[in-house]
Amino acid sequence: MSGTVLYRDCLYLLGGLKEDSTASNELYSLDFQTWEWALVNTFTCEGKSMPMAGHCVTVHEEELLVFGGSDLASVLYSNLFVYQIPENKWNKVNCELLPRFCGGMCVVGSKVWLVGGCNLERRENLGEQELDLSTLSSKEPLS
Amino acid sequence: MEPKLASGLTLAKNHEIFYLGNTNSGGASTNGQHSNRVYRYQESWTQLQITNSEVFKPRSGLVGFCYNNCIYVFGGQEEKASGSTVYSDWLKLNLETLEWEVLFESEFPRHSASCVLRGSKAYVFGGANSQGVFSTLLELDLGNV
Repeated sequence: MSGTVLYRDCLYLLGGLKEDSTASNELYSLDFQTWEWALVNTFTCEGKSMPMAGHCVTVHEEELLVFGGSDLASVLYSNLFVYQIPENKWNKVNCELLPRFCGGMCVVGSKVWLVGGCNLERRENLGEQELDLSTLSSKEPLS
Repeated sequence: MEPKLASGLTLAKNHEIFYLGNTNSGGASTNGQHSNRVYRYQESWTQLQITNSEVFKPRSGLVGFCYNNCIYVFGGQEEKASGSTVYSDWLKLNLETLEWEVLFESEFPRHSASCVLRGSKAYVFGGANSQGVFSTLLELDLGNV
């Protein structure tokens, strides 16, 4: 229930389910040249920890896109976040999307696609939503 | 804790999107029922007519990737009233012939893992089954399958 992407010969791993049944807010990297794991960042939004599992991630150019998931306690996320990998900075995108758990995300052409997944009340497939990549330019840095 | 909710697999290949497993994309509720359907999105969603579709058992929480005009998938689970089956198989769907091929059964049944493709090797991290949550990294060398 973690999210992984490949960027510049490193695997980036965000969040996921921990042994104690809580969700992680940690971002790790695995360097395929040295085979060493490193804790890169802990994800916080406006001073609040952002543990997440069942979220979806994808990489676009030099940015890690993160959407949805849950803190496995009470919150189902509906925010789209952008992590600028070289700068090690988190941003939040201003857009309205349906909360989605265990969905998928990909970039095709000029659009970000969110596909499948469900919410915690119904296991009904949520279908898809698309978002123009230009929307990402409205991102604001997180403190 | 083994997670109880999971979903299908979304993959992008050039200008197409594929969605495998879990529920169909027609919008109908399929509460708790797993699917072995494969959909392709070009300008709209179509279900692929796979000749040996029974090879790919209904499941959710699978991982996979596109490589050389094929889709490779691993693991996942099927939940039924009688119990849950967690899969350990690697499968390949040829997108030209629309046929599934069983590559092999691994020793690592798991669902809800995550996966990246690096060159001709795939790496699967984590996942879970009834024995717990894993933090291991599995490697599949596509040159050997």
